[in-house]
Amino acid sequence: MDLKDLKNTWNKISSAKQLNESQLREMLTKRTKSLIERIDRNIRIGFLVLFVLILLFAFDDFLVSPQMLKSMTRGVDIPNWLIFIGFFSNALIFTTFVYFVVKYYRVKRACDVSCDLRETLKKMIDTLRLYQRLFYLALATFVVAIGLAFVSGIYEGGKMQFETSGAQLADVDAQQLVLIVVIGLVVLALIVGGVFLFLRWGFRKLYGNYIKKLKNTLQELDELGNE
Amino acid sequence: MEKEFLQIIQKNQGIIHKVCNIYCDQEDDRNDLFQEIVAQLWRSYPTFRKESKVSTWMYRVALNTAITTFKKRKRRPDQNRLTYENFQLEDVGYDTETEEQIKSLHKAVNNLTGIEKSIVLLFLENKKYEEIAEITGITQNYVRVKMNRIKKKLKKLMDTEV
Repeated sequence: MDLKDLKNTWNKISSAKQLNESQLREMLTKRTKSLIERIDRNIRIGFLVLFVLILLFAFDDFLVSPQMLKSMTRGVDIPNWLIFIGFFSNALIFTTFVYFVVKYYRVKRACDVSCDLRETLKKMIDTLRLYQRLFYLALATFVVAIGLAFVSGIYEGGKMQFETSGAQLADVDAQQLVLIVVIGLVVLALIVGGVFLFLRWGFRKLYGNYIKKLKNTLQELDELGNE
Repeated sequence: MEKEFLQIIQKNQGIIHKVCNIYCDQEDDRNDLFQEIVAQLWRSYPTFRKESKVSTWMYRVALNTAITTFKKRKRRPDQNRLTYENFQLEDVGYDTETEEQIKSLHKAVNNLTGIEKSIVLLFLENKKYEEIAEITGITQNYVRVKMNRIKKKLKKLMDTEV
Protein backbone atom coordinates (compact mmCIF):
# COMPACT_ATOMS: atom_id res chain seq x y z
CA MET A 1 0.00 0.00 0.00
CA ASP A 2 1.52 3.35 -0.97
CA LEU A 3 0.87 6.72 0.68
CA LYS A 4 -1.93 7.63 -1.70
CA ASP A 5 -3.76 4.47 -0.65
CA LEU A 6 -2.97 5.31 2.95
CA LYS A 7 -4.68 8.69 2.61
CA ASN A 8 -7.67 7.10 0.91
CA THR A 9 -7.93 4.58 3.73
CA TRP A 10 -7.65 7.33 6.35
CA ASN A 11 -10.42 9.30 4.69
CA LYS A 12 -12.75 6.35 5.08
CA ILE A 13 -12.40 6.54 8.83
CA SER A 14 -14.55 9.06 10.61
CA SER A 15 -15.26 9.93 14.21
CA ALA A 16 -17.46 7.58 16.12
CA LYS A 17 -19.14 10.23 18.25
CA GLN A 18 -20.49 13.68 17.70
CA LEU A 19 -20.99 15.44 21.01
CA ASN A 20 -23.52 18.22 21.35
CA GLU A 21 -23.02 21.54 23.16
CA SER A 22 -24.49 20.41 26.47
CA GLN A 23 -22.32 17.28 26.54
CA LEU A 24 -19.25 19.41 25.92
CA ARG A 25 -20.31 21.87 28.64
CA GLU A 26 -20.76 19.00 31.09
CA MET A 27 -17.30 17.78 30.17
CA LEU A 28 -15.86 21.18 31.10
CA THR A 29 -17.63 21.36 34.46
CA LYS A 30 -16.75 17.79 35.45
CA ARG A 31 -13.12 17.92 34.44
CA THR A 32 -10.44 16.96 36.92
CA LYS A 33 -7.06 18.65 37.26
CA SER A 34 -4.35 17.47 34.90
CA LEU A 35 -0.97 16.32 36.17
CA ILE A 36 0.72 19.64 35.49
CA GLU A 37 -2.15 21.54 37.12
CA ARG A 38 -1.80 19.32 40.19
CA ILE A 39 1.95 19.86 40.25
CA ASP A 40 1.39 23.62 39.91
CA ARG A 41 -0.93 23.53 42.90
CA ASN A 42 1.55 21.38 44.88
CA ILE A 43 4.42 23.76 44.11
CA ARG A 44 2.39 26.71 45.39
CA ILE A 45 1.46 24.78 48.55
CA GLY A 46 5.14 23.79 48.87
CA PHE A 47 6.19 27.43 48.66
CA LEU A 48 3.73 28.38 51.37
CA VAL A 49 4.80 25.52 53.69
CA LEU A 50 8.48 26.27 53.11
CA PHE A 51 7.97 29.97 53.76
CA VAL A 52 6.22 29.22 57.06
CA LEU A 53 9.00 26.75 58.00
CA ILE A 54 11.71 29.30 57.22
CA LEU A 55 9.93 31.88 59.38
CA LEU A 56 9.55 29.35 62.19
CA PHE A 57 13.21 28.30 62.08
CA ALA A 58 14.38 31.92 61.97
CA PHE A 59 12.05 32.78 64.85
CA ASP A 60 13.42 29.83 66.81
CA ASP A 61 17.08 30.54 65.99
CA PHE A 62 17.01 34.25 66.79
CA LEU A 63 14.33 34.66 69.45
CA VAL A 64 13.12 31.52 71.20
CA SER A 65 16.35 29.54 71.61
CA PRO A 66 18.53 32.44 72.88
CA GLN A 67 15.84 33.44 75.41
CA MET A 68 15.36 29.87 76.61
CA LEU A 69 19.08 29.31 76.95
CA LYS A 70 19.49 32.58 78.77
CA SER A 71 16.90 31.59 81.35
CA MET A 72 18.22 28.03 81.65
CA THR A 73 21.89 28.90 81.89
CA ARG A 74 21.55 32.11 83.87
CA GLY A 75 23.18 34.59 81.56
CA VAL A 76 25.28 32.31 79.35
CA ASP A 77 24.89 33.75 75.84
CA ILE A 78 25.10 31.93 72.56
CA PRO A 79 28.50 32.74 71.00
CA ASN A 80 28.66 35.05 68.02
CA TRP A 81 30.00 32.40 65.64
CA LEU A 82 26.89 30.26 66.28
CA ILE A 83 24.61 33.24 65.73
CA PHE A 84 26.48 33.99 62.50
CA ILE A 85 26.07 30.40 61.25
CA GLY A 86 22.36 30.55 62.07
CA PHE A 87 21.95 33.88 60.29
CA PHE A 88 24.00 32.76 57.29
CA SER A 89 22.12 29.49 56.80
CA ASN A 90 18.72 31.13 57.18
CA ALA A 91 19.71 33.84 54.71
CA LEU A 92 20.94 31.17 52.28
CA ILE A 93 17.72 29.18 52.51
CA PHE A 94 15.60 32.29 52.15
CA THR A 95 17.58 33.45 49.08
CA THR A 96 17.26 30.00 47.49
CA PHE A 97 13.55 30.07 48.25
CA VAL A 98 13.11 33.47 46.57
CA TYR A 99 15.14 32.23 43.59
CA PHE A 100 12.79 29.24 43.29
CA VAL A 101 9.68 31.41 43.41
CA VAL A 102 11.05 33.78 40.75
CA LYS A 103 12.14 30.88 38.52
CA TYR A 104 8.80 29.13 38.91
CA TYR A 105 6.80 32.16 37.80
CA ARG A 106 9.21 32.70 34.90
CA VAL A 107 8.73 29.11 33.74
CA LYS A 108 4.98 29.39 34.23
CA ARG A 109 4.81 32.52 32.11
CA ALA A 110 7.01 31.04 29.40
CA CYS A 111 4.16 29.65 27.31
CA ASP A 112 0.86 27.83 27.52
CA VAL A 113 -0.34 24.63 25.92
CA SER A 114 -0.94 26.40 22.60
CA CYS A 115 2.81 26.96 22.10
CA ASP A 116 4.62 24.67 19.74
CA LEU A 117 5.56 21.21 20.93
CA ARG A 118 9.21 21.96 21.71
CA GLU A 119 8.35 24.91 23.99
CA THR A 120 5.58 22.94 25.70
CA LEU A 121 7.93 20.03 26.38
CA LYS A 122 10.65 22.33 27.74
CA LYS A 123 8.17 24.04 30.02
CA MET A 124 6.86 20.77 31.41
CA ILE A 125 10.35 19.36 32.00
CA ASP A 126 11.39 22.61 33.73
CA THR A 127 8.27 22.54 35.92
CA LEU A 128 8.94 18.95 36.98
CA ARG A 129 12.62 19.74 37.67
CA LEU A 130 11.57 22.68 39.84
CA TYR A 131 9.17 20.46 41.70
CA GLN A 132 11.93 17.91 42.33
CA ARG A 133 14.35 20.59 43.53
CA LEU A 134 11.71 22.02 45.81
CA PHE A 135 11.68 18.65 47.57
CA TYR A 136 15.44 18.89 48.02
CA LEU A 137 15.22 22.49 49.24
CA ALA A 138 12.73 21.41 51.88
CA LEU A 139 15.14 18.65 52.83
CA ALA A 140 18.07 21.10 52.99
CA THR A 141 16.05 23.39 55.25
CA PHE A 142 15.31 20.45 57.50
CA VAL A 143 18.98 19.37 57.55
CA VAL A 144 20.25 22.86 58.37
CA ALA A 145 17.73 23.23 61.19
CA ILE A 146 18.64 19.84 62.68
CA GLY A 147 22.37 20.44 62.15
CA LEU A 148 22.26 23.81 63.88
CA ALA A 149 20.24 22.40 66.77
CA PHE A 150 22.78 19.59 67.09
CA VAL A 151 25.83 21.88 67.09
CA SER A 152 24.33 24.40 69.49
CA GLY A 153 23.03 21.58 71.73
CA ILE A 154 26.45 19.96 72.02
CA TYR A 155 28.10 23.31 72.61
CA GLU A 156 25.67 24.65 75.17
CA GLY A 157 25.27 21.27 76.90
CA GLY A 158 29.01 20.96 77.35
CA LYS A 159 29.30 24.54 78.49
CA MET A 160 26.51 24.09 81.02
CA GLN A 161 28.19 21.01 82.44
CA PHE A 162 31.42 22.94 82.83
CA GLU A 163 29.63 25.80 84.55
CA THR A 164 27.71 23.64 87.01
CA SER A 165 30.51 21.24 87.90
CA GLY A 166 33.27 23.82 87.90
CA ALA A 167 35.36 21.53 85.72
CA GLN A 168 38.06 22.60 83.25
CA LEU A 169 38.39 21.57 79.60
CA ALA A 170 41.41 19.46 80.51
CA ASP A 171 39.20 17.33 82.80
CA VAL A 172 36.96 16.23 79.97
CA ASP A 173 37.39 12.72 78.68
CA ALA A 174 38.30 13.47 75.07
CA GLN A 175 37.35 9.96 73.89
CA GLN A 176 33.88 10.26 75.36
CA LEU A 177 33.37 13.68 73.78
CA VAL A 178 34.49 12.42 70.36
CA LEU A 179 32.22 9.37 70.74
CA ILE A 180 29.19 11.56 71.49
CA VAL A 181 29.92 13.80 68.51
CA VAL A 182 30.45 10.81 66.18
CA ILE A 183 27.24 9.06 67.34
CA GLY A 184 25.32 12.33 66.89
CA LEU A 185 26.70 12.78 63.38
CA VAL A 186 25.91 9.17 62.42
CA VAL A 187 22.32 9.51 63.67
CA LEU A 188 21.97 12.80 61.79
CA ALA A 189 23.40 11.28 58.61
CA LEU A 190 21.02 8.31 58.90
CA ILE A 191 17.98 10.55 59.32
CA VAL A 192 19.01 12.87 56.47
CA GLY A 193 20.04 9.98 54.21
CA GLY A 194 16.79 8.14 54.92
CA VAL A 195 14.62 11.19 54.20
CA PHE A 196 16.62 11.99 51.06
CA LEU A 197 16.38 8.43 49.71
CA PHE A 198 12.68 8.26 50.53
CA LEU A 199 11.95 11.54 48.73
CA ARG A 200 14.04 10.54 45.72
CA TRP A 201 12.40 7.12 45.52
CA GLY A 202 8.92 8.63 45.83
CA PHE A 203 9.59 11.23 43.16
CA ARG A 204 11.05 8.71 40.72
CA LYS A 205 8.20 6.30 41.36
CA LEU A 206 5.61 8.99 40.68
CA TYR A 207 7.17 10.93 37.84
CA GLY A 208 10.35 9.06 36.74
CA ASN A 209 8.87 7.38 33.66
CA TYR A 210 6.95 10.49 32.71
CA ILE A 211 10.04 12.73 32.81
CA LYS A 212 11.95 10.13 30.79
CA LYS A 213 9.20 10.05 28.17
CA LEU A 214 9.15 13.85 27.89
CA LYS A 215 12.95 14.02 27.62
CA ASN A 216 13.01 11.34 24.91
CA THR A 217 10.39 13.22 22.91
CA LEU A 218 12.32 16.47 23.24
CA GLN A 219 15.52 14.68 22.27
CA GLU A 220 13.78 13.33 19.15
CA LEU A 221 12.80 16.88 18.21
CA ASP A 222 16.29 18.25 18.94
CA GLU A 223 18.02 15.50 16.96
CA LEU A 224 15.85 16.42 14.03
CA GLY A 225 16.72 20.10 14.44
CA ASN A 226 20.45 19.41 14.64
CA GLU A 227 20.68 17.43 11.42
CA MET B 1 -17.19 33.41 25.84
CA GLU B 2 -18.06 29.87 26.91
CA LYS B 3 -20.86 29.60 24.38
CA GLU B 4 -18.61 30.81 21.56
CA PHE B 5 -15.93 28.34 22.65
CA LEU B 6 -18.34 25.41 22.79
CA GLN B 7 -19.66 26.21 19.34
CA ILE B 8 -16.12 26.19 17.94
CA ILE B 9 -15.39 22.85 19.62
CA GLN B 10 -18.65 21.32 18.49
CA LYS B 11 -18.03 22.41 14.92
CA ASN B 12 -14.41 21.18 14.88
CA GLN B 13 -14.59 18.20 17.22
CA GLY B 14 -13.50 15.89 14.40
CA ILE B 15 -9.94 17.19 14.95
CA ILE B 16 -9.98 16.08 18.59
CA HIS B 17 -11.51 12.70 17.74
CA LYS B 18 -8.83 12.06 15.13
CA VAL B 19 -6.03 12.96 17.53
CA CYS B 20 -7.55 10.71 20.19
CA ASN B 21 -7.96 7.87 17.71
CA ILE B 22 -4.36 7.99 16.56
CA TYR B 23 -2.89 8.22 20.08
CA CYS B 24 -5.11 5.85 22.05
CA ASP B 25 -6.00 2.29 21.34
CA GLN B 26 -8.71 1.89 23.97
CA GLU B 27 -12.08 3.52 24.44
CA ASP B 28 -11.45 4.65 28.05
CA ASP B 29 -8.15 6.25 27.11
CA ARG B 30 -9.75 7.99 24.16
CA ASN B 31 -12.53 9.43 26.34
CA ASP B 32 -10.01 10.62 28.96
CA LEU B 33 -7.83 12.23 26.32
CA PHE B 34 -10.82 13.86 24.63
CA GLN B 35 -11.86 15.46 27.92
CA GLU B 36 -8.31 16.56 28.68
CA ILE B 37 -7.91 18.16 25.24
CA VAL B 38 -11.21 20.04 25.60
CA ALA B 39 -10.09 21.26 29.04
CA GLN B 40 -6.72 22.43 27.70
CA LEU B 41 -8.41 24.17 24.76
CA TRP B 42 -10.68 25.98 27.22
CA ARG B 43 -7.68 27.03 29.31
CA SER B 44 -5.83 28.43 26.32
CA TYR B 45 -8.90 29.96 24.64
CA PRO B 46 -8.53 33.39 26.31
CA THR B 47 -5.03 33.72 24.82
CA PHE B 48 -6.09 32.51 21.37
CA ARG B 49 -5.95 35.72 19.35
CA LYS B 50 -7.26 34.28 16.11
CA GLU B 51 -4.00 35.19 14.37
CA SER B 52 -3.73 31.58 13.30
CA LYS B 53 -6.52 29.40 12.00
CA VAL B 54 -8.84 27.75 14.52
CA SER B 55 -7.81 24.34 13.15
CA THR B 56 -4.09 25.14 13.62
CA TRP B 57 -4.69 26.22 17.22
CA MET B 58 -6.81 23.12 17.90
CA TYR B 59 -4.28 20.73 16.36
CA ARG B 60 -1.48 22.37 18.35
CA VAL B 61 -3.24 22.09 21.70
CA ALA B 62 -4.61 18.63 20.94
CA LEU B 63 -1.27 17.19 19.82
CA ASN B 64 0.65 18.84 22.69
CA THR B 65 -1.84 17.37 25.14
CA ALA B 66 -1.78 13.92 23.54
CA ILE B 67 2.02 13.74 23.49
CA THR B 68 2.49 15.04 27.02
CA THR B 69 -0.45 13.38 28.74
CA PHE B 70 0.44 11.33 31.79
CA LYS B 71 -1.12 7.88 31.82
CA LYS B 72 -1.80 6.74 35.34
CA ARG B 73 -2.90 3.24 34.50
CA LYS B 74 -0.69 0.78 32.73
CA ARG B 75 -2.65 -1.08 30.15
CA ARG B 76 -1.43 -3.89 28.00
CA PRO B 77 -2.21 -3.03 24.41
CA ASP B 78 -4.76 -5.44 23.12
CA GLN B 79 -3.85 -6.13 19.53
CA ASN B 80 -7.43 -6.99 18.67
CA ARG B 81 -8.50 -3.45 19.54
CA LEU B 82 -5.94 -1.73 17.38
CA THR B 83 -8.06 -2.23 14.31
CA TYR B 84 -10.82 -0.12 12.87
CA GLU B 85 -13.40 -1.68 15.18
CA ASN B 86 -13.58 1.33 17.44
CA PHE B 87 -14.08 3.73 14.57
CA GLN B 88 -17.29 4.39 12.83
CA LEU B 89 -16.77 3.93 9.15
CA GLU B 90 -18.39 6.18 6.63
CA ASP B 91 -21.03 4.41 4.71
CA VAL B 92 -18.92 3.76 1.65
CA GLY B 93 -19.57 0.08 1.29
CA TYR B 94 -16.05 -1.00 2.12
CA ASP B 95 -14.80 -4.33 0.95
CA THR B 96 -12.43 -6.88 2.43
CA GLU B 97 -9.47 -5.13 0.86
CA THR B 98 -10.37 -1.81 2.54
CA GLU B 99 -10.91 -3.60 5.81
CA GLU B 100 -7.42 -5.08 5.55
CA GLN B 101 -5.98 -1.69 4.65
CA ILE B 102 -7.54 -0.09 7.74
CA LYS B 103 -6.19 -2.85 9.97
CA SER B 104 -2.80 -2.50 8.41
CA LEU B 105 -2.83 1.31 8.77
CA HIS B 106 -3.72 1.18 12.46
CA LYS B 107 -1.16 -1.46 13.28
CA ALA B 108 1.53 0.48 11.45
CA VAL B 109 0.65 3.87 13.00
CA ASN B 110 0.63 2.30 16.44
CA ASN B 111 4.34 1.54 16.04
CA LEU B 112 5.27 5.18 15.47
CA THR B 113 6.61 7.53 18.15
CA GLY B 114 4.50 10.41 19.52
CA ILE B 115 6.06 12.98 17.19
CA GLU B 116 5.87 10.68 14.18
CA LYS B 117 2.18 10.12 14.88
CA SER B 118 1.56 13.86 14.97
CA ILE B 119 3.33 14.42 11.64
CA VAL B 120 1.64 11.48 9.95
CA LEU B 121 -1.78 12.59 11.23
CA LEU B 122 -1.30 16.07 9.78
CA PHE B 123 -0.04 14.55 6.53
CA LEU B 124 -3.09 12.29 6.29
CA GLU B 125 -5.26 15.34 6.97
CA ASN B 126 -3.73 16.94 3.86
CA LYS B 127 -1.96 19.69 5.79
CA LYS B 128 0.80 21.51 3.94
CA TYR B 129 4.39 21.27 5.23
CA GLU B 130 4.13 24.93 6.22
CA GLU B 131 1.18 24.26 8.52
CA ILE B 132 2.72 21.05 9.88
CA ALA B 133 5.82 23.10 10.75
CA GLU B 134 3.70 25.78 12.42
CA ILE B 135 1.86 23.21 14.53
CA THR B 136 4.86 21.11 15.58
CA GLY B 137 7.48 23.86 15.92
CA ILE B 138 10.01 22.24 13.58
CA THR B 139 11.07 23.79 10.29
CA GLN B 140 9.52 22.82 6.97
CA ASN B 141 12.75 21.18 5.82
CA TYR B 142 12.86 18.96 8.87
CA VAL B 143 9.18 18.11 8.42
CA ARG B 144 10.07 16.93 4.90
CA VAL B 145 13.02 14.90 6.18
CA LYS B 146 10.94 13.39 8.95
CA MET B 147 8.03 12.67 6.63
CA ASN B 148 10.28 10.80 4.20
CA ARG B 149 11.55 8.66 7.06
CA ILE B 150 8.04 8.00 8.31
CA LYS B 151 6.93 6.99 4.83
CA LYS B 152 9.73 4.43 4.65
CA LYS B 153 8.99 3.21 8.16
CA LEU B 154 5.27 2.88 7.45
CA LYS B 155 5.89 1.08 4.17
CA LYS B 156 8.22 -1.35 5.89
CA LEU B 157 5.72 -1.92 8.69
CA MET B 158 2.85 -2.48 6.30
CA ASP B 159 4.90 -4.74 4.04
CA THR B 160 5.78 -6.84 7.09
CA GLU B 161 2.08 -7.08 7.84
CA VAL B 162 1.36 -8.38 4.34
